[in-house]
Amino acid sequence: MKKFLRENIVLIAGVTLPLLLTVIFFIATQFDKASNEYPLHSVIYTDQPNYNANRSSYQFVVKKDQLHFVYTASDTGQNWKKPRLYVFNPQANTSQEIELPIINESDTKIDIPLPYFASKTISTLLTSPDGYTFKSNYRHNVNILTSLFGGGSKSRNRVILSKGSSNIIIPDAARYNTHFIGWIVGEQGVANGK
Amino acid sequence: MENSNIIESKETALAQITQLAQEFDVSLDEIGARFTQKNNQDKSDKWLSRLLGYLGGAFVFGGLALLISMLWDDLSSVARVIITYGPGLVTFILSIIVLKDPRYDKASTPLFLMSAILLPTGMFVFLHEYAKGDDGQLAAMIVFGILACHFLGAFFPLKRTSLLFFGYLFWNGSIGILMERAGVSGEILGIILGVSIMMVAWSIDQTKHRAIAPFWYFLGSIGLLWSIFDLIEGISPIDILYLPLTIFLMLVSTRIHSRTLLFISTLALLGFLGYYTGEYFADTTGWPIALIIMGFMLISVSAYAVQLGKKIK
Repeated sequence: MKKFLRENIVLIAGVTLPLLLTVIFFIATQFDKASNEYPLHSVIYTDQPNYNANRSSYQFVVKKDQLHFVYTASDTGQNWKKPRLYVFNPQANTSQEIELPIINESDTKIDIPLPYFASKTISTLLTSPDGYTFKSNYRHNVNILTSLFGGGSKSRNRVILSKGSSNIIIPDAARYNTHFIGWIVGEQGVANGK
Repeated sequence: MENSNIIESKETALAQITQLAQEFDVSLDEIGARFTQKNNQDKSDKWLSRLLGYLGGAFVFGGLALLISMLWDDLSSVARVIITYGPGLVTFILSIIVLKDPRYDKASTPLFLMSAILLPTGMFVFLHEYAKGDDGQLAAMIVFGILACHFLGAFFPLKRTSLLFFGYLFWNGSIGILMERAGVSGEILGIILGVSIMMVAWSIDQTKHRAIAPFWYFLGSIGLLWSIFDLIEGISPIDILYLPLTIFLMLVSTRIHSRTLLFISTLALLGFLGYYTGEYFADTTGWPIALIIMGFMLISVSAYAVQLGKKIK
């Protein structure tokens, strides 16, 4: 055994080096997770391509702490894709899709509060009250080796809730075209609603 | 007794050849030219048959893929798995069977290649049809991990270079994803995996499987140098450390007798010189002088690389 180890020390080191680093990083990540406070507030986001709060036919607007779904028929004839709306609960680590009103062809203007958020208070500030920010985490440092063996593009583009060194990945969020709408900062009359 | 007969008959043959050559005034060059011509013809015939063989194999492979794609929508989940994983398993078993017969020994490598393509395809289809969730990265890590065990497991008793190559390829595919999932950043992943691959390549280079070592030296050194450059790019004065690193790798290449490593480290050095002059000396008056200095440096580096290359036997 000793002889084998001595003769193949480079091979053994080469094979165990990545494994060792994986273990170190895994422990460090777990330690980091344990020492950081998890986000308290759920985040609302949409995955509409080319979403633009000023130009799109579909908009999500917060009025008096309530989230409204606003539809305005396009003047230019541009056919905007109807967005999907999600709420990510970091405590449960799940995303839930929120049903949006059906739009008929005859409708030219709709502006209704979404019932799901009726009892909730919404904040549109980029940073939540507990200091987390909604971000698209794009890692551009890609080379031939990380492209081949680094887990593909999914590993380089992801949507996260970030605070210092703590990054919470939103698991089901589309890697592109995901846009921040707001935070659920509390139930009506109750602080820290989720 | 048998040996002395062979030597005797060989001597007789040579005596006859000499007698015939003298009789018909045939020179040594003419005999040599005839032998070369014959050898070239044999090689040409082999090359053609090999090309046609590969072409035929490609047609069979392409036809199978086309048939699968045409029938795909009508196939049940079980049929989809069988039609993709099945041929992969069959070619893998076939490649082991042909190893037993020296006449078909050379067919094992293309068969292993086919199984290395079809087996992961079949496993991904299996996961797609039966596994819940949409974590493609996790699926890839599991598939490549299983295949690494599969190919390396077969390598240890069979000792085939192609099995080692594919086994190590799948191993890196799996370990790279594992590192990424453990939160290792791209640059660190590239550096560690690069060093690891180069160490394993050196170990492979010491064995009879050394034919695949240059490929792994190439991949490992590119990954390592690229990742280090990503890490230190634009950070003054740390970025100058890249220069001794590339020179060190050039010297290592002579030590381990790898022209591939010498080539990559020389390219990295030349690239770094370009980056460094562009980054720090590219003002309007200094730029032409910087270009001249860089030109001299490039000439020096290339001359040094040639010198080092001569040392590699």
